[in-house]
Amino acid sequence: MQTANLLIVLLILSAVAYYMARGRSVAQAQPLGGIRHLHSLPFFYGMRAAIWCALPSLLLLAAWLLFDEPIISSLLIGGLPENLQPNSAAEHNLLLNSIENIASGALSAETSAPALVAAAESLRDLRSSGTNLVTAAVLSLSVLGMGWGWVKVSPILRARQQVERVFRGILLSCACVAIFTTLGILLSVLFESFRFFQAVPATEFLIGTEWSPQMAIRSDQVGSSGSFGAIPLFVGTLLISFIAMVVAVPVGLMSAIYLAEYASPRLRGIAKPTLEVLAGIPTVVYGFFAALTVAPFIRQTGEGFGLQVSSESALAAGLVMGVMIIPFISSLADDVINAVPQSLRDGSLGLGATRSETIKKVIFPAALPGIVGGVLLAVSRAIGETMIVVMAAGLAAKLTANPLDTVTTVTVQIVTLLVGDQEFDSPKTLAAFALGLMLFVVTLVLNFVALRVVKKYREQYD
Amino acid sequence: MNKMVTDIAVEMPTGLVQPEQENIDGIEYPKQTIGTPLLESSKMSMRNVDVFYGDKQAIFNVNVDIGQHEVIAMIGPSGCGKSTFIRSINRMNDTVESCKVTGQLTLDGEDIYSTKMDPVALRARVGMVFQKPNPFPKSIYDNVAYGPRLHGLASRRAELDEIVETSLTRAGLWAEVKDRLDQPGTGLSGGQQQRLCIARAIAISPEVILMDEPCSALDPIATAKIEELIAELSQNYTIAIVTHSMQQAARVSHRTAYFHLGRLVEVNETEKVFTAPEHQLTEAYITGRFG
Amino acid sequence: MTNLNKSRAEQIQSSLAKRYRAEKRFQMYGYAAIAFGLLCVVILFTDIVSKGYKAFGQTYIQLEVTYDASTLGITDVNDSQQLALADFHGIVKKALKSRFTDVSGRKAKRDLYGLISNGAGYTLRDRLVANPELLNQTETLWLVADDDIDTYYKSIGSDAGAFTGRMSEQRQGWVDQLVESNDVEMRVNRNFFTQGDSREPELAGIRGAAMGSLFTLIITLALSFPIGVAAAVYLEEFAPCNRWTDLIEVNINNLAAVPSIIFGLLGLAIFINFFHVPRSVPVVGGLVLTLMTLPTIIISSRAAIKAVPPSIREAAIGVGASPMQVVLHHVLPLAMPGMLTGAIIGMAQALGETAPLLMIGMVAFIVDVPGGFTDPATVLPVQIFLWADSPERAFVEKTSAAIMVLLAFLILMNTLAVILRKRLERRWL
Repeated sequence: MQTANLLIVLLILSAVAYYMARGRSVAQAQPLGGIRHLHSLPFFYGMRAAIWCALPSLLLLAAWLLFDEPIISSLLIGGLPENLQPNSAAEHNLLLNSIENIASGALSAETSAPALVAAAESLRDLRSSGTNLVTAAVLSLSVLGMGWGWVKVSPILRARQQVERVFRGILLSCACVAIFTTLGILLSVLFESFRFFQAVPATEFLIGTEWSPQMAIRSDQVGSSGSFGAIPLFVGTLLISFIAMVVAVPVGLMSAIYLAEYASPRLRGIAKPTLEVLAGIPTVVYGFFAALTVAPFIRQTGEGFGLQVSSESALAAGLVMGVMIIPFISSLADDVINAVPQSLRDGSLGLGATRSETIKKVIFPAALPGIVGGVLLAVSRAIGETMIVVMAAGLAAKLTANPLDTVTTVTVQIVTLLVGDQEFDSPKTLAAFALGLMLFVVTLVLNFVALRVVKKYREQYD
Repeated sequence: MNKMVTDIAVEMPTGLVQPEQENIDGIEYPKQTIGTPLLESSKMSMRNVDVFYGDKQAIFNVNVDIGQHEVIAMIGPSGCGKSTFIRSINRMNDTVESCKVTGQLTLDGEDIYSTKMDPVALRARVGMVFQKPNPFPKSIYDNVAYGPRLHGLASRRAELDEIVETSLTRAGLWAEVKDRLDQPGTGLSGGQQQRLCIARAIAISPEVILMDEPCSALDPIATAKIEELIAELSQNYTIAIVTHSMQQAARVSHRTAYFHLGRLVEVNETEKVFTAPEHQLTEAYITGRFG
Repeated sequence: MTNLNKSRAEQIQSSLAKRYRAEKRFQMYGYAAIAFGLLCVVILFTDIVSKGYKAFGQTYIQLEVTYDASTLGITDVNDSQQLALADFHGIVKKALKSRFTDVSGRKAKRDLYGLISNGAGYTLRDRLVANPELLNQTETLWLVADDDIDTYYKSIGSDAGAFTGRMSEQRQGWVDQLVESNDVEMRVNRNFFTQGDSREPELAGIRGAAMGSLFTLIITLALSFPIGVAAAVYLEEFAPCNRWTDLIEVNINNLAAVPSIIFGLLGLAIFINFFHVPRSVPVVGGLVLTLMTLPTIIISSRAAIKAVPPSIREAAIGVGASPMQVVLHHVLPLAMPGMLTGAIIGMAQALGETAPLLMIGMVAFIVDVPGGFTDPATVLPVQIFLWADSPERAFVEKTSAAIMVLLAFLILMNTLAVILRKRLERRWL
């Protein structure tokens, strides 16, 4: 049975379980003199039965959906004759693919190896019998649960407590998704990076100044002549992020200050939402804007001054990224500035300071920790920003600090290495995960520090 | 002490005769402030002052003078407008967008609200101490030096040091902090913080110091110190203090003004206000029937 | 004392002018910053609209077409096998040849046939299938022009002069002839809204990407909203103060700031390589975007729950409600508008996201409009990325137009969120 149909059947079964258990509890309450003699409301008896009916079977179904493919494929490969056993993960995948194709009829059975045809046959068998088996197991489990829920109904059953415990458990597991996500990220990048560092020494990766992973596409070159020195990428990332911050920090900060301290309500009503529009624009749009409008404009202007400007200059990507980050900085700065107590403003104005003196000498120093935290968050955003640089920055890993030259970034390389045809074991693909690890660690540290700084700052004025 | 004026342009009731009453929302107000609101010679004078917050009027036709080197206390139940009134004396209300002040307010005869009067220069002459101690998150030294630096009052470091020392000494804080001038002002105790704020205010040698409930956030011992300080300062400065504590008003002030729901009901010598209030509202407040 | 005061006052007065100049300057900086920000918005939107609005029109050429059975190579209109093999472009070629009789030479002929898009054949087939009596008949039809012709025709009369690009002078001459005889027309570009992707700019549409986005968002919403709300309820109402809770909170806050591309790596390594979920399908896109938007939704849902006054909880507990009943009967209904606002903002974020989807293969060239959650698909922002990378000039305006559509959806969603938030505010004030 298809998963969707199975889910619908489960839903109906648990509804039935709910009404049966509920009815039974009401019937049991009748001779005692009404439902107030039950331990819990009939609703909870019903819910308890429904949970027993649905939860275990759903868990079983989820486990099957997650692990059916690995189980079936390991059975398949295990069943193959000795000479066909795969040697590497890539071969493994290739083999599975061809079996899959034979089974679906995309590859003709006549031209394929008989062992594979047999495997395709058993794949089909395994699939259908597996599905049937699981459907039967799921359904019988849910009927059993329904029965259990019905049988246990009695006036002294602590149904409410049990239902609420399950309810709480579900809530807790939802909250834990965040932890599992972090774990998943860590495991996936760590595992693949580990394999990368087996092929390429970590020192070469961290302090090498030559980046040309494409060289390593042939297996005889692995790690030896393909070079994986990531310094040019780090420098490129920092250069573009720096340009972005040079644009975003002053503009974002000054506009936040102006809107908070000077602007008339009318201007604030127009300017604030308009600036926030910038935050809602997808990064791919910024990328398009950077590549097709800003970069040619900078090139032309530069050439007007007789400068050599690359058509994929770091300046174009950095400028547009800066524009993207303006609202981010300005809204953070706005929060931080508003958290500075009014009494400090009064104190300064009462001494005869002008508004700008009050801002520069009292509010800004008082808000500084919060602003620094906000800027750190913005830096982490700039470092992790992908689409703008993919579209507007180049691929050439040059070690330069010239904003008019082309540079590449960590994120650009991750995308380039992973989009398109991949071979899973080549250092070229694994390098993307090593870069991902670097990116994750750096942004994590930045975020962690920034969030702590901002939190400390907030507590100071609460 | 300043001489009270008995015959002035504004009609003044005399003696204990009940003046003409005005009945607003069931409360009997005198048509004019009773007692002696006006002085013969004054440091500041306020005439027909109305203050509005948007459409809401907070202060109604207040007439009062503040004499040279006098301490005047403003008392009244909370929400009576005494803080609003004191904040309009040095144009702190300018920072509140919807706030509008009308009437004539003068400092040494100069109109405070004229276009010629610069609010920045005005606030340097009329300093203010606030309800909650609000030292800047800077060192003690920088807190006191803030005003002089702003206004360019010291050309050399030594001069600035001197100003800081005298101000802290006058504020009675020097002995306590002279060894830790570079530590943050926010690290001091509440009472010390408030004295630091007073030192900060007197560092620019204002002519008038306005105090908006300066002791409401302090414990009794710190309050006593501030009160002593006010008595000392009154030899050199003109002080207007808003307080919700009648005892404090009685202890520190020469004259006391009683505000009720935005109206100035009675101004008299402090002793008289507390022993023989002329108006029934004042009496009701003094005897604790509301407040 | 008075003298001293006088000199003080003078001292203060003397520096005032300078201080006020500094004040003015500072205000100017602020004003300039705001102006710069607003200018960026204006430039961005004008740039995109000016580049893209023409994509909503499409050049059509009027031709006299004969459904010649022998050219088509079919005998029976109802035989689908024959129809599939029929040479519909052949009759377009014939029609062009009869329109411009003086064309000779191989290259010139190829140029001539290139006036009409390859997609015209499908139009003709659909017409013939709908009206079988047209076989061997002649009719005058408007057919989709090739993208070069489209670009050329649209740029006639523009300030920069007509864009000829790769077009030979001969081709321009033909178009000019057609224009003179009123056989060229600008029509609403229906392909753009009804077709999937194509290598031919004049046939490419955003429907495939839009449907892909829709399916992906449905998965994202269906997963992230319940999980996010449940997590928020747990953290606000049930979580004990212990290390585990702290760990969850720190994790959520950090995940909110992790670069989106990292989630793509997670999706690639865990969902695709480990669990063998197929690549390029909305299900896996939805899963990745769920993990990405969850922190946003949890954070805003927590804020909404926090905004419910504690007095309501106390009242409910006071009449004997259990914690679960308090949550279900009181807290959730009252916090719902705020949670929905957060969900919409999260969905808007997911709709605009590109980078993680590149990692999980949603960047493939897919012509068919996806019909379900497990069909290979791409999404609007990725389509924009793909078109922006295409060399044909005609794709620039398509890209801009696709951006306009995407922005329209985003503005719609954000407006909805703002309206919801406004209603929420009114409720509590």
